[in-house]
Amino acid sequence: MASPVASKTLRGRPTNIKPPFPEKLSPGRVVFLRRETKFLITGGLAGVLNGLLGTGGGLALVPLLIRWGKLDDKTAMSTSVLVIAVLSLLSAGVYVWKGGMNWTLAWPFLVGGLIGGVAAGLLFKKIRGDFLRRLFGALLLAGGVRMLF
Amino acid sequence: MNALWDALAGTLTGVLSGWGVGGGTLLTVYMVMLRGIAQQTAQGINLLYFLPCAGGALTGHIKNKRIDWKAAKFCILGGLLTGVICAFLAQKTDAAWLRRLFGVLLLYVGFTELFHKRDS
Repeated sequence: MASPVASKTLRGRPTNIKPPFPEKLSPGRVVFLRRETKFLITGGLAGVLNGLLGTGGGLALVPLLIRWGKLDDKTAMSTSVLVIAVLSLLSAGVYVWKGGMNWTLAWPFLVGGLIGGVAAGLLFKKIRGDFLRRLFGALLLAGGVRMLF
Repeated sequence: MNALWDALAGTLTGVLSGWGVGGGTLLTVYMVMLRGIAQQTAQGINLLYFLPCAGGALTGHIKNKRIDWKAAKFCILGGLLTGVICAFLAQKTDAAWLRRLFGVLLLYVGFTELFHKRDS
């Protein structure tokens, strides 16, 4: 609602004069959350998935960090590795503490994971983000099918 | 011999996991379907496997300055809060419905990521 004073000032002078109210306060416009809040919610969602399903936090993090948090795709991916690592440290601790671990079965995967991880860190610079996102999409489809059945 | 195949599978999916594109999903499929490891055990190994893998990858990512520390800090904070609460809830509730819902969501996001426009 424009005040009479403002409309008088604006009349006949369409340019150079800003409307009396800032545009972002006009109705119908989305009020943006602070970035910190967005990240907090994004991480919270990952925690819900990891907590309830034991997996999937990372699959939710990357798309949310890219689309909502406006991180560039490669930064979103490597940042999600850090976040999930910290969350997994907690879950893995609980898992080993409560149920124990079959180390004879587990150790080849741990060694393989370490080698693969180091290779990933070294190769990351050379891989295009675009390619990674498509690869991620394909793996999401595989993950989706697995969740459904 | 099996240990050798396991290490190889771990290495290959480890590259994907280190890139943050979901190698853990593939590794669980390998363990459950090809090696006949029980789902519960496979999930535990998967959790544990990700720790050395992420450690290896993150040394590279940090050196390449590919970490958004602010995003990481707040995501970890949010994730730890809900993660602990939900880990306790998971023992009391059946999460099958959430699993299905999440599956559908993954299929949707999977399609949009696979066919995303290059410059977006």
